[in-house]
Amino acid sequence: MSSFETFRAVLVKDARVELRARETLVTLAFFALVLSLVFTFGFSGDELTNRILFPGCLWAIVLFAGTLATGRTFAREAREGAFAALVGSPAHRGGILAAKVTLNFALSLFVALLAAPLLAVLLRVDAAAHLAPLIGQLTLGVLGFALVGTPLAVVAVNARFAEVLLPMLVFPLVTPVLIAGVSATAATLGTVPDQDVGPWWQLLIAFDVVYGIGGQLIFEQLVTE
Amino acid sequence: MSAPRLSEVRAEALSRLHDDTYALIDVNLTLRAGRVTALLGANGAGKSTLMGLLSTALRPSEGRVRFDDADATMAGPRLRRLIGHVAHRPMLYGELTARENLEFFASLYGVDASHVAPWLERVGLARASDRAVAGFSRGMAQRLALARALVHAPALVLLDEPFTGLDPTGADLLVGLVQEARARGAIVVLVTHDLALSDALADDVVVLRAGRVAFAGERDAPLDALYRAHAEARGRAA
Repeated sequence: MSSFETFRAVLVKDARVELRARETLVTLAFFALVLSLVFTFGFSGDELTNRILFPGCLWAIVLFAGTLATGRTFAREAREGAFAALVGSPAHRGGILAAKVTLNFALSLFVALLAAPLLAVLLRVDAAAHLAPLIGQLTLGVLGFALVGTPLAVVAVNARFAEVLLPMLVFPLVTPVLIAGVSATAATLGTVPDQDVGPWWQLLIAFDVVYGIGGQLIFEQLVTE
Repeated sequence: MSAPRLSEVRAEALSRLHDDTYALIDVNLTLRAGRVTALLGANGAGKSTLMGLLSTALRPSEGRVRFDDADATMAGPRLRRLIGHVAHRPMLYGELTARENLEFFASLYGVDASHVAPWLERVGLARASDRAVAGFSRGMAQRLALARALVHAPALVLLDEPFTGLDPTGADLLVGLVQEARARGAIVVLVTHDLALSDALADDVVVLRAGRVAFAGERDAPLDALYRAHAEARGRAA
């Protein structure tokens, strides 16, 4: 089975499972809503303060939602052993990873794109004027998170303290993506004087490329105990 | 449907370390085509670990598994294509229907979807084929697990406690499926505590005791007698 055929079969199956269970999507959306409210009531101040806070709050939501999404990547199918059957099959493992990354990316991006306007309204930040760059930064940041977190979620599948282990593995690796994301958003909103957004874009793209290649290289090793 | 064949699977000085304890120690075995090997042993003897190593899901700490001349540690898609594995858990997706589960796994093995309906009929799930597996009884899930593991006519059939949850009809079905696999030249490894049901199936017997091979050879006595003679020798508790 080719990489693309595997990718398509696993993605269709995972999307079908997710749409029926709606477990991850509903949890993530609710989580984003609650975090947006907490940040708003906790930090909301004058217009300038809100504009300064907005990037940090938004990317914190991306971080938490991303962690939640990646933690559930393999958890459901590992419960009944279906994950073992999947990786024990002749399916192309790169295709399996690509499908899992794609679903995580789609779910996390959905949450990020839900949280961004909500947070902007609640904090009264005029994000609409910077819509295209903000969507671009969130897309690259969420992609980076999915590329790092998804292969590492395999490690957590069989671990005794999976909920603790996954963030410990993912957070250090995803920190550069978060720094680049927060800085790019701050530069886009003009909260940091004279900051050029270009290098942060380059950093986001570079990390996505590196994590994409790295994930494919380690996944094969990670799925065999 | 024709599938690639294997002449033999060999475990060579196979050991597996698990949390500072050896689950398997220096296991040497040869499993041959067209024969059913009953793998016996008390709880914790290392049976499931050996099945994990044979399925290539686990890597040996020492030694190797060979599929004919191929080293299992280098297992690629072509090697994994040869294996069908029924483990303790059904290895199915509860949110999907029986048909969707089988279609998905069949597609991973390059098996045409037209083979799915006959298999559902074969394992007695035709009428439940559009029901979500989450609502299945343990026996129904086990029947589907058998279909999942055998739909691609594997050359190495690994059955870990396959009688679990099966009613007498299901057990008869399983016996028939094992006999068919043997007849088409597959290597069948059967881990079970149901010695009476397995007695009629086993050609060879391997008994593990504390991670080591206590007995390996042709079945020349009832499984129960072999188990008592080798698995329970030296008073090792289950």
